[in-house]
Amino acid sequence: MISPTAVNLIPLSRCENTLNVPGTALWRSPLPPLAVGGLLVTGTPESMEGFAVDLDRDLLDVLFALYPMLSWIQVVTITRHKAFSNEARSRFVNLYGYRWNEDLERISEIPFSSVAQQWLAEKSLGPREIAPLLILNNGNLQNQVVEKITNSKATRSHGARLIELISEILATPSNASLLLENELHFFPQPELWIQKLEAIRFPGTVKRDAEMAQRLKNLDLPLKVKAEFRRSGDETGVELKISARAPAEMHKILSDLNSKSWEVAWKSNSPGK
Amino acid sequence: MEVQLTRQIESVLIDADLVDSPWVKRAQDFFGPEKVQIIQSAPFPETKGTLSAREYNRSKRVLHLTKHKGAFFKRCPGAKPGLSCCNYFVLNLGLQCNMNCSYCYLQSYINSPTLQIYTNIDDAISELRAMATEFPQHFYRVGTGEVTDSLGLDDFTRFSRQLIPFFNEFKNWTLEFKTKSSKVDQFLDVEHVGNTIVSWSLNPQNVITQEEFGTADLVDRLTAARKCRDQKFPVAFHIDPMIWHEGWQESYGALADQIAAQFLPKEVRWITVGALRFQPGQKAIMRERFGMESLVTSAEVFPSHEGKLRYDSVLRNEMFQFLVARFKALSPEWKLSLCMETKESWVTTMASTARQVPEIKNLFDPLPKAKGLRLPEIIGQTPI
Repeated sequence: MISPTAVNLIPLSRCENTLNVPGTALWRSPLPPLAVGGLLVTGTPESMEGFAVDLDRDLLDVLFALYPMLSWIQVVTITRHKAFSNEARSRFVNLYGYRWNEDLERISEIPFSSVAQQWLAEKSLGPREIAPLLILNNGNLQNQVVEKITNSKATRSHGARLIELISEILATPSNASLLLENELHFFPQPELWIQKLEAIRFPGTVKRDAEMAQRLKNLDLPLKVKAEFRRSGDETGVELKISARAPAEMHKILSDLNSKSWEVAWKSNSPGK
Repeated sequence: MEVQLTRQIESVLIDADLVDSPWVKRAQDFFGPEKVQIIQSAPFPETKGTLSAREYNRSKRVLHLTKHKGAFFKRCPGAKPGLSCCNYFVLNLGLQCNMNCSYCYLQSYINSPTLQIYTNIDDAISELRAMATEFPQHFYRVGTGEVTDSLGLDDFTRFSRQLIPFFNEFKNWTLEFKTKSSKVDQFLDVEHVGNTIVSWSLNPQNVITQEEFGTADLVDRLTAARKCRDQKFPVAFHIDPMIWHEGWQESYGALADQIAAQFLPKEVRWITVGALRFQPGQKAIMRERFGMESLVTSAEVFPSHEGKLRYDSVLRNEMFQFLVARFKALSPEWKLSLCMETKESWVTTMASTARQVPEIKNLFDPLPKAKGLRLPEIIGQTPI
């Protein structure tokens, strides 16, 4: 027979409710109030008639058990609480698969506003995606970049790409002022924004790709053949779409294509020229 | 300008189990007794995992003499599907390099907080001997410059003086010192049978000045190469990584001219050519250590098929073709090959695959699978 275990209840008035985890307010409220060493880890001060269950457990283990899916920014924000010693912080981030080191410490010290924190938590961006900001060495600017991105409809991968592109451009003296004076070339549509930034970051390649695309457009291709110049990483090529209703038609289109030499050679020698 | 070891190294840590070895006196004589310290446990225990930029910089200033516990002998990371492999094997006698190239792959690879020298070279030679005795007839190429510069520390370690005599016993095997140093005087008097190749990684001086800190100037590297040639050591060159910059044709063209002015094609065993490439994970530390003004961090690179960031393939091939054509115009006898490149690049640049070029074909012939040898775990590139 299983007997119920007695629980310790402590008045909520004696509990500290200062554990700040961006984006988790909604998770906390429906849960009954649980406290570890007087620190409220779930629930709200209004719940459970003024009492919390006081758990005689390790704070870090309880938090990890309650919140196993936290994003990097959430983990870091929790560890800013005074209950976390350096050793506890290191152990806690470890539970989430990160290894505490100097770079992680510097990333965790970027003074993100609550809006930026909320977005980083929502998109679950990790230290690797945030790291490019370190090159800016300016807390206000680092925060400003992320805040600006929150105004777009960026997905997680858009966000990571935007952080990297903007940081690299801002860290290049010849480009930085241009970007700052133009509101970081903001576009609400992330694809367009990224395109604009890539033209600044990779001027030679973008220019050559555009020239190639134009050259392709000027070719006198057979009807029913649509050609598009494509880049995939370090490779480029032409994608052909052929519409044919019958094998004979396909055969004719292919022989038309074969009848001419369609070489689209690169003329310019170097990026930036 | 090549950095002087005695000025660069701030402290020398020697494991306690080496206290009775000759290494202690050698270190004291070379660096000064005030820099030498015997340690009882691993240094910098608080430094774990990936190094930060600051920790990485520090790791180049603290020399750690220690015994290596693992295998010394491995296959080159170029031996991967999709890349043309030139059967290069590596003998690691240390970890970390005393030089400081902005593109160095060690930045994303090393997690050791110090510049390590493995003092138990006798164990390394025993390991080699076991392999060489089993396959004496095969043409293995063994390089010592994968995770450290082959000669950057050799004025202190003098490993070259032990390795050359060992390779004299196995004439089909080739030892390659790959370096950006000009330190060769310490082994020039060692007898050899012509199977120790001394090779230099070369770039135009403007690239050396901007991206290869602490390395020997181009003129000094070529002078050192001439010294080796004069002692009948075969020499080779690696023009790798080619780094795009405004006026790259002039720089690399002039480099080819300088080589051709000082060496005959028959005096140079081979010239390999490669272009800038690095792991995406390396970008963060490179940006931090060298800023965005560097030709490497600001390079227009894109993910390639095998994951590394590389220049656009068309641009790469254009750079290779330019250099190959320049050498071939100077003399058709120059023996050129591409390093860590795809078959497509080979065909575009050399009009053939690696195994179709008669002068270098034997480098690319498959070797038998040796017992106990695995593809390396590391995913970086050979230091260049």
